[in-house]
Amino acid sequence: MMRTTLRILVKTFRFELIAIALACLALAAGELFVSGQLDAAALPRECQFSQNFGPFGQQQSPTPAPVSDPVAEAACQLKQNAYYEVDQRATELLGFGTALPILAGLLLGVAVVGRELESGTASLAWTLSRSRRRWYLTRALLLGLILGAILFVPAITANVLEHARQRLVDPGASFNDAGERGPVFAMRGLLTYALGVVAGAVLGRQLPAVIVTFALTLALFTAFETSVVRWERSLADWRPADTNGNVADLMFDEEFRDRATGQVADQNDVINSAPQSSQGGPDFDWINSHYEYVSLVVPGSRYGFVVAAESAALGVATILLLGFGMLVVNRRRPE
Amino acid sequence: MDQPELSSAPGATSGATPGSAIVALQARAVAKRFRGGVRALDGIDVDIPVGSICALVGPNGAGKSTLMKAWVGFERPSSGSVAVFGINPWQNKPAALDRIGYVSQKPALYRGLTVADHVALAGSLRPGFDHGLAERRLDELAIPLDQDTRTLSGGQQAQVMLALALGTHAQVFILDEPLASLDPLARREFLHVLVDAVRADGATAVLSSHVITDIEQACDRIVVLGGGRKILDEPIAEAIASHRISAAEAVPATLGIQPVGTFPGPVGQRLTLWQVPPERPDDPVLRPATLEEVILGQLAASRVPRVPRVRGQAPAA
Repeated sequence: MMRTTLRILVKTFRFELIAIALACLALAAGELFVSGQLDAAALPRECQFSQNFGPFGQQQSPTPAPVSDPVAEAACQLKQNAYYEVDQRATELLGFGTALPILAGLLLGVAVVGRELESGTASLAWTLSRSRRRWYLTRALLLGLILGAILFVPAITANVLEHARQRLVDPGASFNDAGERGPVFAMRGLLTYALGVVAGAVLGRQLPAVIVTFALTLALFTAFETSVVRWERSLADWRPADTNGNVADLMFDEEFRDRATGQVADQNDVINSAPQSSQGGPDFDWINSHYEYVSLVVPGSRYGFVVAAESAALGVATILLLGFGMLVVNRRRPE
Repeated sequence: MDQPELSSAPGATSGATPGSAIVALQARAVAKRFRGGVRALDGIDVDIPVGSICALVGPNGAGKSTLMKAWVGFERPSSGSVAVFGINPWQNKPAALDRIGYVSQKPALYRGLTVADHVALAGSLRPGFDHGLAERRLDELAIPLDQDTRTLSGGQQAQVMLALALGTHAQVFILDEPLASLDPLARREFLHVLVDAVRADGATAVLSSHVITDIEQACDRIVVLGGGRKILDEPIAEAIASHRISAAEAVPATLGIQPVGTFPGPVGQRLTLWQVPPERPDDPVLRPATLEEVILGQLAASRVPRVPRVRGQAPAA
């Protein structure tokens, strides 16, 4: 029975499912391809140096020290340019990827009930089935599971790409590109899907449902991201700043901590409180002896917890929306 | 067929009055107002007895579809109640739907699915769905099971809808203008399949239509609605037997009969419908009425008469 239901469901929504699967596969293939390019363009250790700047913009010693031979340095520069060109492609790909789950959820979600109402097939299904609730739950959950499974493919390949970008960092313990990979990527698609299901059920027309879902998705995700950032900030601690550019941590602020009192002050306060040096300007030695340069960060080691909590919140919102959709379907006229 | 257990189902009310035939579909003082104050039904009382094939007739907007959708649980009456074998479809939708096979006004088939897919879908949605029966009926009508329903004619699509409804072995079939888009041959075939199946199962059917000649052949009872009210509710044979037609608006007073309504007859003629005792012998000024004339006369009589206005005077209250 369930096999027949699944077969008919997949056949009914084959256009949406094939379109979503192709887009996800294309993104996944692109991510794997660029990962391969990044691997091929990987910089040799002697070329892996970066210009670092201290709290007042002063240049610090590059890490590791750059090669001293001008010919070798020029070769390194060429390799770096080639690498960053591919890396830019990876950034663009991940950026494009963030739109995919939303578009996929939108496309499938509004059709689940909206198309049935628009084409009149709801009256057939709702009189053949004794329970609208069962009809709704079967299709909404099965299609949601299929969508989730499809979206997890690029979610995983985005992690592979992230690993290729940051070879020395475990993508499972890094906030770099956090929203563009992993379970949050797929859960965003599922939440948009649930919004589409509800909009389709309420409006009974696909085009208006697409417009309303798109607007609601933008509003909901903006509000959600604002709340997430506020919550993540509450998890952050002041730690000695890593001027080597640690991408794994989620950083909010860089300030100065008074070594004696432990109080955090901003750069202007510190400069104003510093005595003048003999050359004029603030005495940086005094500042360094009295203040520690610190960052407000959530360490990369907490990435798993943050992502799990964010995914759970999106999951709960998805379930609540699908539950609301069930109430709408239960009481709705079929046209 | 099993007799319905009126008192056993949750949400069941009385499905029959003592000493009367068991009622399959019932409406009691049903009124339905839509947003904007549009009144679709205005205090309808209808009893459709078990085993009958009943035609629900009336002009567009008479409330036929609204009443049928109320029985199916698609419309909630603003006041009054409806029941399917004593079960209120709003209080116990699964139990009511379990007894109903429904064919909607517009063929509601899934684009891109074959006829066989629809039969499989019906089987997955409705426990006990009779695949064999549905497929046999479609086979008898030479409708290929592997054909995409988009490529079927309107008549074939209606037959698929009917086969799906019949496959449920429902106790009552509700068909909302299923003949509307069919050619005469397709209409005849549709009604043959319906009547055969309903009679074989001892089921009940309610069918709305504007095609009176088809109704006359297929149905044994007629309910006429007009302006949201019930105008006529009788077995078809009795309705015909108790009416006569005259070309004149007046007949000799000695006949002692009352006019029902006057309506346009053949071009240039007006006909009057008269209510007569069924046993009345033929008369030179009156001829037997057809079912269509009975319906037209009753609908003409039900119209609210317009109050004539005389220029310069306020309209009568």
